[in-house]
Amino acid sequence: MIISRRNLLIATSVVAGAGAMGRPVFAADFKAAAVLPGSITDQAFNQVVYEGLEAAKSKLGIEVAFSEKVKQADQVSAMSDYARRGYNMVIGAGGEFTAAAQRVAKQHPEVLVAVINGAPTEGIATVNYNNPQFGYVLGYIGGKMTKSGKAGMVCAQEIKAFVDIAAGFKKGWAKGGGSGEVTLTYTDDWDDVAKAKEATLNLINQGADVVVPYLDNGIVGVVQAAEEKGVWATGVITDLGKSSPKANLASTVLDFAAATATAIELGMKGELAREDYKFAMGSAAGYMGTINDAVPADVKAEAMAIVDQMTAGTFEM
Amino acid sequence: MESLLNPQAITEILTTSLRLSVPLVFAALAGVLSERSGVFNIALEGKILAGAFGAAVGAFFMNDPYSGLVVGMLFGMLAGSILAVLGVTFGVNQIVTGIAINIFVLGITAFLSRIVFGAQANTLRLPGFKAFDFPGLSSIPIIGPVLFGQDLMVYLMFACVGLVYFFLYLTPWGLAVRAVGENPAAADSAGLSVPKLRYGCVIAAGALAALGGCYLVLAQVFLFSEHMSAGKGFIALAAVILGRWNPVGAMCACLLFGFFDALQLRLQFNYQEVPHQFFLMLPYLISILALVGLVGKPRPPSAVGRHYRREAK
Repeated sequence: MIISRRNLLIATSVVAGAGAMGRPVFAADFKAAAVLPGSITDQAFNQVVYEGLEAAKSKLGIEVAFSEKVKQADQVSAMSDYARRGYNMVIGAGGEFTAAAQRVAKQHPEVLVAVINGAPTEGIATVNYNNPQFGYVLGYIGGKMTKSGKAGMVCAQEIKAFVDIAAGFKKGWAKGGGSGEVTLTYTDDWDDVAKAKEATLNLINQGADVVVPYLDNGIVGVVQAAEEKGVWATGVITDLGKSSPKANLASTVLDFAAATATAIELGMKGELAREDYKFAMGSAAGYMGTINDAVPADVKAEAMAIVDQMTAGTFEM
Repeated sequence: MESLLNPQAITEILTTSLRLSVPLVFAALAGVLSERSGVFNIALEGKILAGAFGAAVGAFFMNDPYSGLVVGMLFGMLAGSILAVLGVTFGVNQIVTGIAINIFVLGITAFLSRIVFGAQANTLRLPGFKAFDFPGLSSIPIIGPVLFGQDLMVYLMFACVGLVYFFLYLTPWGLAVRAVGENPAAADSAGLSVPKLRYGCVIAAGALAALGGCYLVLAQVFLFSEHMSAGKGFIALAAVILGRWNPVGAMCACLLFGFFDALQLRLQFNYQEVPHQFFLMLPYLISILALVGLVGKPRPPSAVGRHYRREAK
C-alpha cells in the first residue's frame, strides 16, 4: 500500500481528533499556577497561598504549579511562562503583581490572570478582602487598650491592600479612643527580619504601644521587638495568638488559603469574572482570630458586635 | 523636627545605625581582604547567608551562641573555599563563580532550613549574645549607650577592623598579600606562593563575611529566616570600593550606609506626608554621591579578578 502524504495527514488528524475528543475538555485538564514573591514556609502570606493551591489540587483534582521567591523584575516572565505552557489560570500572589498581571493578560487573553490582593484593574480578576473592615476591628481594640495613644504599622511596600487596612485601622483607632497618631513605615523588603525589627524598635521608642506588621518573614522581627519591649502586636493575616500568644493583642485571619482555593474553583467553573472580588469580614475566607485574655470582656463584645455587622453587610465606617 | 534633635532620639538613631552596619562591616572586611589578594568577592552575600545558617544550626544543636559562631564561620569558610577552588585553582571567571555561589547558598540554606527547623523556623528563639553595659562608660550622654551598651559581636567587629588593618599594613604577610593583588608575577618571582596566599585570604574572608551572618542570627533576631541577608552583601561590596580597599575606610563607608538607613526609617515617621520611597532611596543616593564626589577615581588592586598562571607569562 502506498501511503500518500494526503492519506497520512488525514489519518493523523483523525487519530489526533479522536484523542482530543476522548479527553474531557475542562475539569481534569484545568491547570492553575501561582507565582509567589516569598517562600512557602514563611508562616504568612506565601505559605497560605501555597496551602490554598494544594487544597484546590486535592479538592478539584486539577494540576497545579508554583514558583517561589519571584522578584519584581521577573514577575512578567514567570507569569507568561505559565501562560505559554497552557495553564488556564495564573495567579499573582500579592498586590505587587498587579502591573505584571495586566501585561500578561494582554499578551495571553485566553488565560485567566488573577491577582490576590490586587488593585482592581481592567482585564484581570482581583481577589480581595474588604480590607478597611479588618483594619478597623484591630484598630478599635487597639484604641481601647493603648496607654500612649500611639500605634505603628510596618509594611514593605506601599500596596493598596495595606493602605486600605491602614485607613480602616486609623478610623477604628480613633473610634476606640486612641488619641495619638498611627505611624506607617515601609522597610522595602518583605523578608528582612533585622530591618523590620529595627523599624519596630524605632516605632516603639517613639511611643507606639501597638504595632501592626504586614510583612512576610519580616513579621517575626516586628513581633520580637514587641515581645522585648512589652508592647502589643496585632496580626492581620495570620493569627499571632497561635505563634506568639503573649504579644498578640488581637488578630484577624485573612485565610488566603481559602480565598485562593475558592478563586481557583470559581475560575475553573468559569464563574470568576475579570473584575474585583471581595471577601467580607466574617466570611469563610476572612474572620476574627484570637483576642488576648487581657482585653476586657466588654471591649471584646463590642468588637464582636462590629464584626457581626460587617458580616451582615450593615456596617458603616 | 524637634523629635529628631533631642539627645534621646540621636542616641536611638546612632544605636540603630550601628546595629544595621555590623553585618555590612564584617562583609566589607571580607571583601577588602579577598580583593587585596586579587580575587573578586561577589559571593559576600552568599557567605553572609551561609554564616547566618551555620550560626543558627550551631546554636540550635549545641544550645550555645559560641558554637553558633564557630559553625557559622565554618560554613562561611566552606563557601569561601568553593570560590577559592573555582576562582584560584581552575581560573573560572570570579564574578560568575561569585554569582553562582550566591544563588547556590540561597537555595541550599532555604532547603536545609526546612529540614532542620521545619515548621518552628519562625517562632524559634536561639541562644544569642545579649547587650551589656560597661559600668560608667555607658552613662556618657548620647555616645555612651551607642558605644558601650552593645553586645559582644559589636566589639568583635571593631577588633576585626583593627586586626585586618594591622595584618594588611603592618605585617610581612600583609605586604605579601598586597603584592599578590597588585602584581602576582613579581610576587611569584620573589618566592611567594600566589595560590596559597589567595586561598588563605579568600577562605579567611569567608569566615569574616560569615560573622556578619552570625550577627544577624545571634545578636539581632535569634532565628534563621530564608534570604535574611537581604542584599547586605552587595551593599558591602559598594562599601569596599567607597572605602578604597582599606579596612578602616570600608568600615566608615558601612557606618555611613547604616546611619542613613537608620535616619531614613526615622524620617519616615516624622514626615508621614512625604512619599516613603524618597527616604528609602536615601542610603543609595548618598552612596552614589559619595562615590562620585568623595572618592575620586577608585584604584582597585591591579590584579583583581585576573587568574594567575605562572606558565602564561
